[in-house]
Amino acid sequence: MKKRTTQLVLTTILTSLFILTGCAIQPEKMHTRDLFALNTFLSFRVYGGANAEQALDSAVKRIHEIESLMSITIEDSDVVQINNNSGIRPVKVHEDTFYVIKTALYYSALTEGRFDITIYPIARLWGIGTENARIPSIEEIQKKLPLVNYQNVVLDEENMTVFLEKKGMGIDLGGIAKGFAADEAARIFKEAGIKHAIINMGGSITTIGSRPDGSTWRIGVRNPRAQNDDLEHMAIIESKGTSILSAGDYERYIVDVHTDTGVRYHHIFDPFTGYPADTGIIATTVVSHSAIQADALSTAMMVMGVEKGLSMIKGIEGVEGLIITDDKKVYVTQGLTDNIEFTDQSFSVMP
Amino acid sequence: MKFLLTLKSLVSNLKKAQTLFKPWDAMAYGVVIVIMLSGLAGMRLLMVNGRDRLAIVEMDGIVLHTVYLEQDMEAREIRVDVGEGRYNTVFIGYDFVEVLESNCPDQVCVGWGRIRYSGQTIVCLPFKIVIRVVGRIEETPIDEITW
Repeated sequence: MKKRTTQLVLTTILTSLFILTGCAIQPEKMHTRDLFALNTFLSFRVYGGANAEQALDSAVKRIHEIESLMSITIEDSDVVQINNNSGIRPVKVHEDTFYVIKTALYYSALTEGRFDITIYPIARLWGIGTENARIPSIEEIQKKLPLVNYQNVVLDEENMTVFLEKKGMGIDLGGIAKGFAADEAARIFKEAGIKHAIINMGGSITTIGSRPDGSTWRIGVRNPRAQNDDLEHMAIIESKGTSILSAGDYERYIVDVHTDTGVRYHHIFDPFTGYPADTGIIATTVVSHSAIQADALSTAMMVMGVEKGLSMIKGIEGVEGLIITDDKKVYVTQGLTDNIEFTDQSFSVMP
Repeated sequence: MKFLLTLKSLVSNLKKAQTLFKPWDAMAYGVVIVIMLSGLAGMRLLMVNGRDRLAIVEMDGIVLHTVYLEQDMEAREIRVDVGEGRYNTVFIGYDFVEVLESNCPDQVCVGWGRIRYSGQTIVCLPFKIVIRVVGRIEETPIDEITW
């Protein structure tokens, strides 16, 4: 008799636990993670079961790994080592660093030097976005300009070394490492079986699959001149497993208050002049299946100007994009027109 | 299979229980019911009330302020002191949240404008301050924003 009672109690408790835990294990629950890394704010949103938290852990670990290799401020990073040894000797680097630099040089060649990671001596001179931001003299710029040339970066694939030929040269992977990190996070999520996710690396967006309900993700494009009562976005791009990256003059900049011209000195420099790119473009967005590609191209377009920029991305398979100019005109590539909706009528869309 | 067996034995045990119901059983049922109810109550507490939106101000991952955005709330300015004279002033009203002022070097947070939908954030990178709106996600017109 007593045995039966015990049996009854045990079965009841076990069954209840079964039902209760069953309630907790929902297959498509949202998991999120935020962190400050890569000199920006990152947020991940993945949908999945027990695998999701593990995948998030792996992605965060990978981000820190990439940061420790490619940071310009971490003393023993590959990048700092390369810069410290400019004009002295080649530096052996991690394969990730090698891959990112090699990719950067590929896009430098493709854009005829408009995208150039050797811009660092100029960027440091200006210090835009730091407490030391200032407008340097033309002499200072002229002095540093000869140090900027991607063709003076020597790669040795066999020995995995990188050498900057001239003393005082420096590279900054800020314009491309975020894209690489986004591609890596997406790879980790996909390998973990995640079907729906959205990765935000400080405004660089990568989506995996669709939203959990099957509809497309809706990615706002920042209004580069948003005033307080404007919506923060001026268009919405539909995304299903694509990377959407932007560049603009509005992220980090200083305004020339001394000469009262109101000129905006932003952080994307023309490698040929040493001054912030001045092509009339205030923002660019590139849609691609590769975040690292979109990162390089969006920056390059700022420097290339409307005509050259557009014709470049039109010539690359699977890449779409848009350009916003200072007179509030928007130029959109043909392939994007079906996936974009303009929400701010003060911008005029060019044919 | 295991589950079916458990169910089967539960059903047969329940049948027997009609004749074999003892005070111990009542207690066991009581305990199970209490566990289930407390679990449900816990879940309810963890969920943000469907009607409400919350503004959350964090610094370096630590939550400093949480403010419910409700129609009859009093709009307020919150000063976030980062130390060494560095600060951010955040305006929190029923309809929107914005950074009014900051002495951070890049001023991205001040220029960001207003946020009002769940999932929207304003980030002050130099001071590691994150201001976010949390609530019902289906109201949001966009999932993320590229910039």
